[in-house]
Amino acid sequence: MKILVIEDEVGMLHSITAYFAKSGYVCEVATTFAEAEEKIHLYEYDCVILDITLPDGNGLDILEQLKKRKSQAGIIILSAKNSLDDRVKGLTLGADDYLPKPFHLTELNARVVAILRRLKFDGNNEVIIGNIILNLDTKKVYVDKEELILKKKEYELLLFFISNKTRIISKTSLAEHIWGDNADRADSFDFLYSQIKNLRKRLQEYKASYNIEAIYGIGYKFVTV
Amino acid sequence: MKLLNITTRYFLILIFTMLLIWCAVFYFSLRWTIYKDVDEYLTYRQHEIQKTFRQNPELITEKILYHTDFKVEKLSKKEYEKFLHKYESGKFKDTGMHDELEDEEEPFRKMESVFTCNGKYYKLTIIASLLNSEELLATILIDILIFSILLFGLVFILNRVLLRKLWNPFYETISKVKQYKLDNDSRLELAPTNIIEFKELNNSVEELIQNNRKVYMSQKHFIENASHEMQTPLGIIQNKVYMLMEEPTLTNSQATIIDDITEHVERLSRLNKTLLLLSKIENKQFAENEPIQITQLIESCCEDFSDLIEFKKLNLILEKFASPVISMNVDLARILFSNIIKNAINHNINIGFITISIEINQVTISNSGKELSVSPETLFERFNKRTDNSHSTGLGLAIVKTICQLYGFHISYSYKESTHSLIIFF
Repeated sequence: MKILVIEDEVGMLHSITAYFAKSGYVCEVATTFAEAEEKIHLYEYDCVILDITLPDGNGLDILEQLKKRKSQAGIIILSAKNSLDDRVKGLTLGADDYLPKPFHLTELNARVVAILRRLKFDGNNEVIIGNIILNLDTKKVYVDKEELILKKKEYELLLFFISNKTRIISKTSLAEHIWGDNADRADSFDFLYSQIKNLRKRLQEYKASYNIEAIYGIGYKFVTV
Repeated sequence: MKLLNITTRYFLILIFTMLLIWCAVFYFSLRWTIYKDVDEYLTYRQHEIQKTFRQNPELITEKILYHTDFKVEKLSKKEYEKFLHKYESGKFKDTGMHDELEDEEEPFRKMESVFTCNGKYYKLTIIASLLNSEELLATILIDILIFSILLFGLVFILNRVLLRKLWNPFYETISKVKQYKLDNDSRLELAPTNIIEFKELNNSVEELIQNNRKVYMSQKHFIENASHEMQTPLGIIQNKVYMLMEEPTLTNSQATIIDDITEHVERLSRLNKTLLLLSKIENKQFAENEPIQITQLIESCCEDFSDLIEFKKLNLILEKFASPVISMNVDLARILFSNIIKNAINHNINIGFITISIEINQVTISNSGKELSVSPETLFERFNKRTDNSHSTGLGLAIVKTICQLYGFHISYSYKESTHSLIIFF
């Protein structure tokens, strides 16, 4: 898997590339508009992570060029502006997703995984990990062909865990993924703990080959049992 | 009152008084001229008659007035001197005489004078008819009145039409300025006019709005820039901390510290986001309105929180008395109701309840809960936290209030029988 990260902020760029490299992706970087332009003309990528505010140009123009070249790459727009205009413009220009800064790397990863999944298996929308099968269309979960009935948030949690398998997932990134802008809640963590506890119990009951492991003080990890 | 009406009114009052005064002056001056004329004629007659009498004293008889225009009466010396002393040359007087033919009083002018002839004293009374003059006066006066009324009407119509036409650019400017919104992309363009004052007005308005637009735009950009500048470092911190988390040699105490950092960075970024949202609402950057089905929206918000409601074992009662449709921005509408519902869940007790009743022009959200530690007046102010809960930004209700203010909704809060009630009036 080859990913191009177009981001002018070096600190941000390093975190992103380090994260994806650890997951086994090949990461290329561009810190300027010109560099990005050159790279998208020379190479093909599976996914382009695009910051739209670049020092020497607008990232949306890169997006347009990619679309003009009929690039098959999945495109995620990163923006610190979080303005509605940009979001709408980006998505209408053909971006696959829009992620406002600041974001959790796990969240970015989940979005990249979702896009790559969409691009790779068009039609067959199933995620298979060990003996767990998630049908993304029907939102049904099967363990060893046996249906595991989950609540909406539990399903979302499981999908997020699967997308970030074997990586550490912080509690805050989980809360933010589940609650979005509504994460500023007194008991969002209490709720989360109970949901995770429940999910863990269910996966254990159904003898799933993967389960959630708690990491002291930090968060969780989705690992093979 | 419209300027047009005020001008017309003043103008009409002025014209009316002017015409009235003019009529009066005209009438009296005409009358004065006629009287002067008649009096001159009477004086001339007096001289003629007296001359004739002096030459032919035998002609003096006390004639009856009807047959001629004069009569002579004998006077005593005393009466003669008294008259002379009082009137000298002659006494003029208006009088009426009965006209048997037409059976009505006819106006006459009467002149009395005295003279002596052969040592005898006489009083001479001469009359002249005013009938012709009166009729003339009346005719002229009526003509003037008719003419005045016509003039009055003409002025009124002309005034209306002319003023309306003249002030047209002004009204056009007003209606354009009224419709203009700063957050529109287009410039304000006012219709050209030849009237210098309006031209100046238009120029000033255009300039003012242009300046405001600039300020607005720079503020908008400042917000965006501030957002960019703060979100990026926050994001970097967040990600770097994450990289620390993945370090395999992490000890438990280090992990606890990292967890603390994450939580606070998270809070900081949420605060930043919320403050930006508030400024954006206040700067009216959510301009596009569309009709929102309030009932559907609330149902969907409740759906979002359904797991949490279930988790807290809350009993959610949705009372749909009406299905109001309100024109507002779709994102703000969602933010508004999810904030209120979130609040109702957040400040609830375990196994409590939430009642949402939707009426045609109001939505009431009630929930069980403990009494507030802050006063209800400050409830909607920024950073006014009801709990010592570090996850809350203390801005939730400030957002609710700001959105309500933007759309002119009234919001009220009350606490009764362990129940918080928030009512939004559309």
